[in-house]
Amino acid sequence: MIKISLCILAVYLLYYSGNILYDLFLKKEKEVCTDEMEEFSLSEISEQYEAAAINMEIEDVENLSTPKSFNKNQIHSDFGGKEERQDLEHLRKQYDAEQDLEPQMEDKTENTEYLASADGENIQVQSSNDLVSSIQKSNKDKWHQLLNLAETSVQLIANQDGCKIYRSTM
Amino acid sequence: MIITFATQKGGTGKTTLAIAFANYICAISERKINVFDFDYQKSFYYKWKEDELLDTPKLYEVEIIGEDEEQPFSDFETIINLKESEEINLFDLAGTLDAKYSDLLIYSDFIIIPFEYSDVSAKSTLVFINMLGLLESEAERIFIRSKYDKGYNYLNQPGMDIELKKYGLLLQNPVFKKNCLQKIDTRKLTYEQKYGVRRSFDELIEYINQTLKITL
Repeated sequence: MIKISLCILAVYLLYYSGNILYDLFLKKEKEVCTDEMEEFSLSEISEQYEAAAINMEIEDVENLSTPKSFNKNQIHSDFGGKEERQDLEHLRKQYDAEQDLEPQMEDKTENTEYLASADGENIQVQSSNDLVSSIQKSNKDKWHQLLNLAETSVQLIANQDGCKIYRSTM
Repeated sequence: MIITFATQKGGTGKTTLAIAFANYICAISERKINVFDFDYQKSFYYKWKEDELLDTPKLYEVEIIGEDEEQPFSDFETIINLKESEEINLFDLAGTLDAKYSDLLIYSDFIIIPFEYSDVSAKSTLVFINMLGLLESEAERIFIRSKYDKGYNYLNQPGMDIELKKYGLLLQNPVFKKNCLQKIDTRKLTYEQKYGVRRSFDELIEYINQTLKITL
C-alpha cells in the first residue's frame, strides 16, 4: 500500500515537474489579443481618399460597364413553364411584402398627393373664375367708358323756346 | 336676319312698336318670325303669355334671353346663325344701354330706333347713335318718329331731322299718337291699329327689302 502510494506521488511529481519544464522552455508564447482602440475621424478619411475622389457625371453613369447579367430582365426571365409561374409568384409575394412594409407611408403620400391635386384643381378653378370675372369687369369698365364718351360727345347747338337741338361731335 | 328695336331712352314705345311690327309682318309675310325679349322688364313676353287666354291663334313664339347669362351671344355662332337665317329674328331691348347688348347691337342687320322730339329723347337718341358708332355696329339705323302729335309744332324737328339723317334712314311717315296702340296684343292688329302703323311699316319693309335685296 505504501509502495503504491509512493508510486502515485512519484508519478504526480514527475507530471508536475514536466509541466513546469514545458511551460518554461517548450511552450510558444501566445499572442496577446488586445482590443484595437483605434479612432477614426471624417477629416482623416476625406484626407485619405482625397486623391481618389473624382466628380461623377451622368455620362459616366450611363457609360458604366456592367456585367451582362445586369441587362437581364428580371420579370421576363428565360425560365419557362412552371418555373416562370413560380418566379411570378415569388415576385408577387415580394411586391405584397413591399406593399405591407410602407402602407402608412404610402397612405400619407397618397393623401398628400390627393390634397395637393385637389388644391391644384381648386386653385385652377378659382384662377379661371378670377380670370372670367376680371374680363367681365374690364368689359364693363370699357362699356362705361364708351357710354361716357357717347354721352359727352353730344352738344346742344340750339334752344328754341325750350325745344333743344343736339348734335353729335364724334 | 336680325331686326332690333332699341334706344337708350325708355318710354318711347319700343315694345309697342315691336309688337305691332311682329303682328304686321305675320299678316303680310310668309316668313317665320321669332321674337326675343331682351328687356329685363320682359314686357313683350308677359304680354304674349297674358294673350294665351285669347281665342285668336298664336302668331309667333316669344323667348326670354339674357336673364342669367352675362353675355348671351359670347359664343358668336348663335348670333351669326340668327343673322344668316331666312327667318325674321326680332329683338326687343330695354330702355337702357347694357354691356350685354353689345354683340347684338354690333351684329344686328337693322336697328329700329323709335324717338320723340322731347329734349331727353332727342339727346338720348344721339347718345345711342354715338354708342353704335363707338361699337362699330354693322347695323343699318332706322329712325322712326314715335307718339307723334300731328297737331303740335315741334320747333326742334327740322334741326334734329337734319342731324339724324346723317346717321341712318329717318322714316318719312311717323307713328302717330293713338290710344288704340295702348291696347295692342300679340295675336292681332285691329283695323285702327293697322292704320296707325301701316305707312311707317310699309316704308320700313321696303327699305329692308331694298337693302337686303329680298322680299319680306
